[in-house]
Amino acid sequence: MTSVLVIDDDADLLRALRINLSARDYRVATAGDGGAGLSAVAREHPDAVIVDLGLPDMDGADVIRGVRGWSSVPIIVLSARDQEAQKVEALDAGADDYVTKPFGMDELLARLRAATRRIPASTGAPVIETADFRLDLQAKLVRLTSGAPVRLTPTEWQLLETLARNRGRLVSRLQLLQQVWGPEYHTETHYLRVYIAQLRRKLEPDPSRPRYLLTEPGMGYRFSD
Amino acid sequence: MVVRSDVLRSTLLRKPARRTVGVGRRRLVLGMLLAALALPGLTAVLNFAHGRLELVDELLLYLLVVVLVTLVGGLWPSVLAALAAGLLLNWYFTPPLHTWNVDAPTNVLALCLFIATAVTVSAVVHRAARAGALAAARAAEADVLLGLARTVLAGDDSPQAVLDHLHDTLGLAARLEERADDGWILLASAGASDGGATTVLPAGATLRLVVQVEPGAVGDRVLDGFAAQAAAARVRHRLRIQAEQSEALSAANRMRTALLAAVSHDLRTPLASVKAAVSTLRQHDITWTDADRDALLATIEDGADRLTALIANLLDMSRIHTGAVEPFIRSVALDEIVPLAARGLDGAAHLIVDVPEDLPLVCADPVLLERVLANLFANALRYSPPARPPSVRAECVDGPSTVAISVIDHGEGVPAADRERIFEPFQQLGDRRPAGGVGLGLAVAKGFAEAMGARLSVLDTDGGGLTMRVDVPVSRAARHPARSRP
Repeated sequence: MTSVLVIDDDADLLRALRINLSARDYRVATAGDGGAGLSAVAREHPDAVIVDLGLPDMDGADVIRGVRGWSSVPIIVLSARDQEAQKVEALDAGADDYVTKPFGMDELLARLRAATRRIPASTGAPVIETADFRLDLQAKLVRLTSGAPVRLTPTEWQLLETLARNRGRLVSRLQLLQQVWGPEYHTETHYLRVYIAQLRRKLEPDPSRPRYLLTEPGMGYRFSD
Repeated sequence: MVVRSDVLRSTLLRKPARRTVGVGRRRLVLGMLLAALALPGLTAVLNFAHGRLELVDELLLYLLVVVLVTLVGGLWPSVLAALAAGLLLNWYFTPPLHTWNVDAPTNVLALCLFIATAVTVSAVVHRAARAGALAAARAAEADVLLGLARTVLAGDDSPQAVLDHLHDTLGLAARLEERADDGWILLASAGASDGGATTVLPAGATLRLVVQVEPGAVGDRVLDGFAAQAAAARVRHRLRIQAEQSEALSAANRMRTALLAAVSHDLRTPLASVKAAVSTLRQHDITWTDADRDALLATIEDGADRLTALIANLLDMSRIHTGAVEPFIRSVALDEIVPLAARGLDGAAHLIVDVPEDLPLVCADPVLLERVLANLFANALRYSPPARPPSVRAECVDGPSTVAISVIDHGEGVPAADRERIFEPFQQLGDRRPAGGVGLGLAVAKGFAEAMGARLSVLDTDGGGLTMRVDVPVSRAARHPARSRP
């Protein structure tokens, strides 16, 4: 049974989330402010944390930093703040994903599933099959459903592999730059735009309306299948 | 800066005829007079003592007189004095005496040398005196300009201050004008114009300084300095106004941005719980129990209520800001309004009400008064600790022309310095505020209270907390109610 801790000061929202998550076999704990949230993380060791940024006693980003000091539990931010700088601050503090209020329950559940999914062991042969292409991470091969192989440059492949291994999860721009290009890259987000556009041209049925390689404005990218 | 204005004035203000710096007409006359008195006098004395002094001594004594004449009267009296002294020496002291002849060639040489030396010394002394006078004038100019610079640097750098300084130090009336399409516009002036001659100095591209003085009477440097400072002061003045305006604008802009963020947060938070509950109910892969369904529906209703309250406050606020509140004042019974205002508030049952039925009627718009009280009640309930619920008390004051309605809470209170600010909309900016607090309630309460002629003030509660007091005038029509009691 996966356990989730929700930290939010809105009692109505806590009630709705508790009902829904409990019905889906999550064990739900709630906290009304940051201090209670931090002690609940220490006490309950949840498998995922959902945290609001505007808490009465401290900022949600400080809660995230406090948790990140000793735990790598997946953290999803659930906030009414929708400015890019605010999202970046929360992600840089160590959040794994960011959902803007108001949100649909299906979207939150999908993000929660992605955040709590165990990363497949590298010994396995993860194959991701979509309606339009088949991605074999072991053999480093991509084929369209028509059977035609897709030729990718090493950089394109690394980018695609990073996103695919975190399928469903938000991968921040910083994380992508450092994993694909190297630790000294921080701000070259235009590289990402260029290579993502190339991947979309090769894989997406309609590159201008991507289904698989999604941009999360201001935050990063997400592989959706 | 203490400016010895009389000294400056006398040094700087000269008649145009004495344009070149040097001795004045008065001293010229004095010099001539001195020469006319001293030379005959010396001659008489030496004549009397003749035979006891060498020619050399006599020459030196005459030279002394010539130099004195130079010091008093300047170059021209001294040249005349030197020539006259030469003639006197020739007539009275070089043999043969009392003739224009000189027998010894050495005496001829001595006389010629005397005249040459006297004229040369006079010229040197004259030039030194002239340089001294010039230096004094320059020093005075520098003093005036330094005083001006200090005035400007000390922060008083409006064009008016520059003109005032000109008027104070030099006693001159002046005005600063700006070029317009049809002539000149007066920007600043100091002193009264007497209609006499003026000096006009350009000050920058579009300004001019008009000084009530004959052209050339004051050193160009001084007036140019004033003109330049006046023009610069004008520019700085304008820049400062612009800087103040842009600071005010950017403060307003920051306020608006913060306000927008606060509104968007306050609208989204209840929407988020509504949408979470609705999208939960729409998920058909799970069968919800009746209890869950009821709880989710209650969440939706709560959210809708919070949105309704927030939107009502936002609309009220914009009515207040646009001046669209038109109170309909009539006689109102407080004991009827208070229960209406408390109805529907969270925790209203805890509110302790002390509103006597025999209070006089008050002059108010019942709808606005209800909104004022409802917002004050909600605020007090929100900030009260559970153990000490807030209370509302109404009583006659000012014997008895006013009814004071006090809404008393025992929360943490507000520091005196922040008292006025709590009435500004969205005072709790950002999204970190107590649950349900939207930051508009007090602003609306104050706006409505003032719109109907009531007064809302903040006081301390004895023992901690905040008391909001509404002073409403007593209705004159019915100071003592002829109301039938049930």
